[in-house]
Amino acid sequence: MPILDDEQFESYLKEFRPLAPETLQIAKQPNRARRPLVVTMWAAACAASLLLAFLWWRGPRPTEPASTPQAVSSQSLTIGRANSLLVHAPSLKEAFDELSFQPQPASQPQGKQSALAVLSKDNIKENIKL
Amino acid sequence: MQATRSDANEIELSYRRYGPALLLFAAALVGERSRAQDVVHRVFLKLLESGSLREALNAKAYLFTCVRNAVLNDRKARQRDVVLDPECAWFEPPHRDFAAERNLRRALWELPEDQREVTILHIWSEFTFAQIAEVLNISANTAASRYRYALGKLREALSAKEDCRAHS
Repeated sequence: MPILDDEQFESYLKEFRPLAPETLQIAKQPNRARRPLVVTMWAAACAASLLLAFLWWRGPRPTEPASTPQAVSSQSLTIGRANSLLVHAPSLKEAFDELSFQPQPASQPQGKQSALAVLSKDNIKENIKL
Repeated sequence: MQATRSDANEIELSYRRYGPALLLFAAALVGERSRAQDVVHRVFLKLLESGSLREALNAKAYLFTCVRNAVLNDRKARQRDVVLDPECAWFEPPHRDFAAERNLRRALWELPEDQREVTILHIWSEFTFAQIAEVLNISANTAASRYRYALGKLREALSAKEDCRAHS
């Protein structure tokens, strides 16, 4: 090494650059802390868009025409029908009568049987044989 | 009190700016680069947890003081002699002269600790003697005097090692 004065020697020493430390991981922590919020926001946005897509797919339901008591009477009893009866019946008693005496399901024409009835009978016979 | 986002940015910036010099300073006191890195990381983690650097009048001097205190605490906790880790480099040498880097590291390590820390602070951390005095809690004259002794010893040691290299 050549003889250097103090200043030159200092300059020579400064040519050696201190190595940088590893990245300080925790310095990124604020971002990490914010991550759940970002994920939650994304999840909420996805859920909202799915809901909108579902609503759009279903479309507006056609409104049912108001049924008359006569027409209603042949249908099965539902809350909607009960409401309709209460609204349209001339008196409360008649509305209750209408609700109480439900029409029986239409019976099969003469000489004809329902498939279910036939099958159920066959099953009984087979069970007896066994 | 956790550091706010702007405080955290400031601390991160300080880490990038002073990190290499702080790591060198810590390594020159503990001998091992990995331990030195732990110490520096601990100081910055504490800063991020407890607040900001804004309260410090001189952030740079404050950081070096923190690292020095952390090294002294670490030593007290371990209660064992510090040894130089010969494998871990402290510097990026000019012209990839790794032998020169090793020689410099050893020459620095052979200096008395008080002279070593003054040398590191003055040359690689670019502190004035007045600032060194503040960090080490000594007078500026003492800092300058230690530096002059250290520089002489370093020159001697490096010249001797250079001569050995030339003859081998």
